[in-house]
Amino acid sequence: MIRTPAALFAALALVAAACTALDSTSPAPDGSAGFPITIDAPSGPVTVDARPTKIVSLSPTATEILFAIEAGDQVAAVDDQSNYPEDAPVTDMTGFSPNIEAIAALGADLVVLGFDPGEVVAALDAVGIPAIVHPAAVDLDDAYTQIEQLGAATGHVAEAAAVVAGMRENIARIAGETDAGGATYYHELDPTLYSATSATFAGAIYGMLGLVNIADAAPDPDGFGYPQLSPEHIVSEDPDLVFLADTKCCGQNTATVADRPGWNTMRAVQRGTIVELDDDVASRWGPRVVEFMETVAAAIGALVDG
Amino acid sequence: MITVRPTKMEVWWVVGAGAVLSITAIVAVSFGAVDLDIGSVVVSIMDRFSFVEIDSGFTAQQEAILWEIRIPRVVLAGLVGATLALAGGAYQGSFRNPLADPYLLGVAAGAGLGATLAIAYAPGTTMWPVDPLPLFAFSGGLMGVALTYVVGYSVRAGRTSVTLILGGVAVAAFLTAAQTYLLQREAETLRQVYAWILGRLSTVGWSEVLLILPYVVVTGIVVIAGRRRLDVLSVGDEEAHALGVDAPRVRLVMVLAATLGTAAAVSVAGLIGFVGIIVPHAVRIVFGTSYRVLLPLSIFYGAAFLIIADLIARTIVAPAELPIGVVTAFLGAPFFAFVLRSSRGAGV
Amino acid sequence: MSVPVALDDVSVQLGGTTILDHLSLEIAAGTWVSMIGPNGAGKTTVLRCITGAVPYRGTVQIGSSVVAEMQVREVARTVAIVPQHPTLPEGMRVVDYVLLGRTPHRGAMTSESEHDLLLVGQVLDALDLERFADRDVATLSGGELQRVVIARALAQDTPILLLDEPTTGLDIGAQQEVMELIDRLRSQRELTVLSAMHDLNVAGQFTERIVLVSGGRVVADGAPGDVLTPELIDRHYGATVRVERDGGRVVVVPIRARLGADESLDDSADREADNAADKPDEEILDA
Repeated sequence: MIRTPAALFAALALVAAACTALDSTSPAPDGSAGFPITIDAPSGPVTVDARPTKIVSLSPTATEILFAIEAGDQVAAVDDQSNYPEDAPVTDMTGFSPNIEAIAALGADLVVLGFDPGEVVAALDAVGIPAIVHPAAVDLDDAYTQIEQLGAATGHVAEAAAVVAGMRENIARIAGETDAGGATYYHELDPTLYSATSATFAGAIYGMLGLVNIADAAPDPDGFGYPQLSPEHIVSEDPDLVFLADTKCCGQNTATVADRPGWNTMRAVQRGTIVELDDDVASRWGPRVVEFMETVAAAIGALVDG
Repeated sequence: MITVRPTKMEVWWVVGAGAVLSITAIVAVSFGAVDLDIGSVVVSIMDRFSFVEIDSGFTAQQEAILWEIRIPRVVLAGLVGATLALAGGAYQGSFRNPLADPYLLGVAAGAGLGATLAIAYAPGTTMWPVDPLPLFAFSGGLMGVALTYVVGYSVRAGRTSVTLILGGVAVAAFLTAAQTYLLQREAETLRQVYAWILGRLSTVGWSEVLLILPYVVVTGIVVIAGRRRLDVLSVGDEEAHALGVDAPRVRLVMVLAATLGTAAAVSVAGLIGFVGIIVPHAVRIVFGTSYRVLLPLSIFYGAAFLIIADLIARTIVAPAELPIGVVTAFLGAPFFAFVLRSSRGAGV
Repeated sequence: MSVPVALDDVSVQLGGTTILDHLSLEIAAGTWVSMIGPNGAGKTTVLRCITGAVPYRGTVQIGSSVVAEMQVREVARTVAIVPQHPTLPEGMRVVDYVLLGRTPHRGAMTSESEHDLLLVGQVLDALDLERFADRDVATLSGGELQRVVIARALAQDTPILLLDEPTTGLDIGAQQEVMELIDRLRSQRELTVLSAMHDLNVAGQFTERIVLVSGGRVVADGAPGDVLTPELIDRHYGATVRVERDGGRVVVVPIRARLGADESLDDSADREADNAADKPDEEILDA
């Protein structure tokens, strides 16, 4: 990800913010400093002509970011999976098959997607609506870049920088305070034992805290990162911690896990070191990553102490 | 005057099939994602089944892996494979079509829709007294076949095999469309449903075995009891009638019995394909076309086939798993092509 | 003990077309009656009514029992049919095929008994099929297959035997063989036989009573000499024939209308057109 232009824009935007702060009666939009700008999004350069006031977010993580950087009042509509924050304007729209007409009818002036199901960006471009595709972050730096880019695209460069700075600080602090010392863990994505290796975003977080992932033993030829594990392997590895990221989607919890054949011999079950995560917090890469990390750190703390 | 020797089961065929199944089961129990010393495995089994207490030297986890995870999985793979192969043979005989499979009349589409409904609207076991997924899948499968019969019988000449098959095509298309619509609306369930469609035995234990046991036993008894009737059906409905056999009624009973077992198998194991066609067909090529021989042998070889497929699915990329539907397809597709090439052409 | 068959006022409608039109026919116990008639006259349908394979109005009786009130298995123990186009199961041995004839005498789940096997052996012997016992039915020639299908019907051991075009596809020698065989078995076992035939001569030579079925009705019924007349054949078949007597037998010789010396082809065409006008109008589908 290219960070220099972002830093440049951040500097420019700070100057612009300083100027507008001096003139507190002038309203923000149309032709103010910082616009038009071109974002170097993963899908290609996207030019936003003016400060957007009707943003459509079809990515739950993007929704979280937008509200975190104080662009919430510029958001007109979010998709049906964007459940955080609660006051986000949820609609029936889905990121899996975006309805271009509906988006255009809203008068959208910026669309953020988690992936392009097929020619959506091109179609939006044809009706003059800029669209940014921010796919799942591969690491923290990737996540920071996305936050900064959304900051630039919405005219909240300073807020975005602050959010990123806060995240960096908290993450460094937590990582510094916590060391699992090589304790093993299993991160569960669904009850058919799909897991995430340490090559994934979530896996990297765990790794920063000194945890060892039992899914790393699984062959992963295409580097996909999400193997389905054998129950024999899980029981045999007997991880110190079990993290359930399928509590909301699939109703899994400490009790259901203990019920699984053979799992009652595992120390995580016997000692109660099973952590019920919030599916969304564990799978998104927005500012709530810090919350995720805190939960994991707390579990490590309990393990080390208890 | 010659001595008339009708085609029937030879004792040594059954013994051979039994031996194949036993060896397969033993091999399957000995290998898995986790290395368990074979000697200790044998000792552990002997310990359970004899009155003497022998220490296998296994830890609690290893005992659990063997008895709570691996052995029930092998047993279930055997039951599911046997049922699907038997049901496939029953369908092939009832419809006089060696390409029929147990999913022909909408069991798969119905079960798929049921599973999708369960995954989308009733996830997890906390709110229900029983796990909704197998229940919904089972009911869906039965409903699919019932619907096919309603559609087929509503046609005037409705009890022929062709009408039923066409009815099944229509019903399957409809139910699949309903499932696809649902998936679009609840797109986050896509991966779970897809995983179910590919078939899975990875999270099964003894409870699943006990769950389907009554159904597969009923299927086995009814289909085997009717095997001679299927041979009579091979001369067509009208000639069978002239020989005193009500072909549509035999077909109905066979389909019901086969569907019951298939729906049960599918409800715990997902949609495992190819077993229902490959195994009866392979048995037919080796042992002849008589259902009297084919059906009982399909039980043994179906069980052995799926046990081996499952063994591959859980060891080849260990400790990761391959969906078993992928393995049976990889084994099945080339075999299918081979059968089509080498079949006598006219009679397929 | 032989059993008579009686059809009383039987009508059959298939797909909106009348195939049989208030047809009545009685076959005396132990006799052999042949049905003749043009394609689509309804001969096969008559046979199918007796086995109960087609829905009909009217009554069909076997002896004193009404077929419609009998169980399917009971009917199968009383009537056996040799179909015109038998379905050949793939990969079935002759022995197993003939054994199928024993099905009505066995429960659904019982194996064949010693008696069954003995009977099949006898039938194979009688029809000179022993050397084909292990062969796949699909590999047999026309004549061999016909004998095998007859064998299956005989294995059914029924007092009534129905034959639908038993000489189809057989060469002239095989035709005679099969007909002689059936006649022999008929007298040995006191069978009641009803056959549908297209070959007028074979019908005339082997059966004492011929029934001409046309347009779903019986239009003539009697001894071969009374039914096989040029007028009747012309009227119902639209064919020109000459009938000759050979001793007690009747021989039907088809002739091509001869052109007279002073006739042209157009004239003879006119004459044939006139004859054609007398034919029944309906196009009746082959049942």
